Amino acid sequence: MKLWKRWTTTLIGTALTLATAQAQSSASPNSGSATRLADASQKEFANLLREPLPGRAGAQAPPAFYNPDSLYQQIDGGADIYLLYDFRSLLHQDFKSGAAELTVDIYEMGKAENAFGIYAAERSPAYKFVSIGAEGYRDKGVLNFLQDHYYVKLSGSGPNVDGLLDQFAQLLSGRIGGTRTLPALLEKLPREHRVPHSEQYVRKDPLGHAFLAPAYVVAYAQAKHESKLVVSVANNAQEAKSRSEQLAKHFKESGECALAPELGEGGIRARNNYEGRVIARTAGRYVIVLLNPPENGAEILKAVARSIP
Amino acid sequence: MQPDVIPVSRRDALIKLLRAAGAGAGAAGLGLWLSKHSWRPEPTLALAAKRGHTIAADLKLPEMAVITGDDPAQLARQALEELGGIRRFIARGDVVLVKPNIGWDRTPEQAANTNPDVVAEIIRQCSSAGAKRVIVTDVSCNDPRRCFQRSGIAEAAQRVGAEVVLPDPARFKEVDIQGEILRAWPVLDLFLNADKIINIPIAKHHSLTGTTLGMKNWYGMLGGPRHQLHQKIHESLVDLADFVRPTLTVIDCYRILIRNGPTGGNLQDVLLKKTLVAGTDPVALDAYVAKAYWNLEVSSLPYLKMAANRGLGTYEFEKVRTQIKTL
Repeated sequence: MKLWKRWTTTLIGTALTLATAQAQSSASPNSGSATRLADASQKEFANLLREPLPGRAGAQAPPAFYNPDSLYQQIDGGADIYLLYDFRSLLHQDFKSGAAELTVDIYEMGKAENAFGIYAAERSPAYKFVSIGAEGYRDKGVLNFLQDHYYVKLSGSGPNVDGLLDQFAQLLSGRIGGTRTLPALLEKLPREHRVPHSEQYVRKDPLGHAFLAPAYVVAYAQAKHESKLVVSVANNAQEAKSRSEQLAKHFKESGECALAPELGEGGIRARNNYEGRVIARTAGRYVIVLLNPPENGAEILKAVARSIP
Repeated sequence: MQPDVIPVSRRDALIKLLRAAGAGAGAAGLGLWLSKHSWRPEPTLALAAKRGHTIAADLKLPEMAVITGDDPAQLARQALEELGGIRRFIARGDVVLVKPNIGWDRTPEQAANTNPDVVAEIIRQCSSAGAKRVIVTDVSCNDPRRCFQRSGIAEAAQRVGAEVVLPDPARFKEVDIQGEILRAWPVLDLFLNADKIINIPIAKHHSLTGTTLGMKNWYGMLGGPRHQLHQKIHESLVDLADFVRPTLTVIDCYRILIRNGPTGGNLQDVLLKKTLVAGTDPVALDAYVAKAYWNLEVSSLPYLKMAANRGLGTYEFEKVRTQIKTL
């Protein structure tokens, strides 16, 4: 008899427990909180901000991490362009040093060219540049720099915060290590008449043409003559040829285009009303395009073809 | 020694088995019933009706005022004057919600948030008209405490007697927005209980839409995964504008962020325009500012036509009665 009672009680209790568990398992609206320290990679990432820190800065809260799904929560509509550059993870943390407050945002972009891409998309040639990492810029209460596959953004307020930002930047640069140079291809492009800090790595629609992506774009200025050099990076020579043919087709349909063998492999001279004059050629897996070329444009094109890897 | 065994008849065994089965079935049924009823917290849709906070049109008064000058507070004062004075908008006893952009952990000079002097003057004017309460709030993107403090808005608003309310997770209510794409969504309850709502956005570049102006500012009343709305950003802007229908819109163009919006950060991305654009037609205001500072045509901002089609205003700002003044 006691056994029956025990079994019945257990059965009823189990049913109630399961029902309660199911009722309480309904998902509540996602409040969109940042992911907290969860795994080894995050711990390693957070280690960049380990103590000791300059100015005896102390963390005001644990580090917060944002991934491609949650980045919007931190930077709202600003997230789209980061996602375009294959953003991986953001480490965000607030610090206090005396009366000064400082925020550190470290964007992990996966590859150095993607970090350069987002860094360059946000900078302007008119900024005040500083020599930190591969390159950086600063303003009152702000210091951002690029190093290896990281884009570091520091901001702060309070007494002597600019000095504190400098110290933080130096410390983080030391801890990040890795590459302290801009993408190697940029070094192969002409330096003469280049508009400083105008280089970009464009992953979407360079010059308005999706088939040219990704591409490096650099501005040049000789007196009042402005040109733009575009080096479209394909996966191989075959793909570069295809891109070149699409470019020629575009100009044939919108203006005029003629073969220009004197420019080299796949050379064309083209123009239309809204893009103006263009000369282009291929070089291995690259398509080299010069918009509004100067008088020595042909020489520039050939020189680039010879020097890029 | 063997324990005593009480023999059980077949009838008794069957009865016991049936009782046990019945108890089990009853427990399972109870569990199933409970799982579908009050144990699970269900969202209640608060106040399904759309709310409008607009005032009656006055054909003798301008619908838009564009005021330029040095002092942000004076610009706000003059803009209200040109539109008929604060008492045209605020009645004695009104509960007024003032909605600046306090989204970002940035200083006023960085032009990511609304100018605190503009906010303070609007609050002061509302109080002078006899408002019972003037509440200032926003659902910030960054840490609200830092945003409210660093923007200068909390201090400026409190100094003139406003209630500054940080977004509290407990204050969101699930509301039927009754939009074309937005239905049930958590909204900060302060937006549901106000008599009048004054929208005070700042004009900024936005990497997704080109600019963020008045109608985009309504994202700041939403909780939940609002970033998902970016997939249908134009439709969601119109749904929200239709849901709120503010009393007055004052677009802060004193400083505008021309690059790297909406977060900003670098002072080199800020232009000093020393202008306020205020009025009762939120569509016309957005269209005017987009054209004036970003040279964006209506075709670049699909939400403008959508909003006009919904009867929220006109994107043909040239046809709106406008007063332009330089102080």
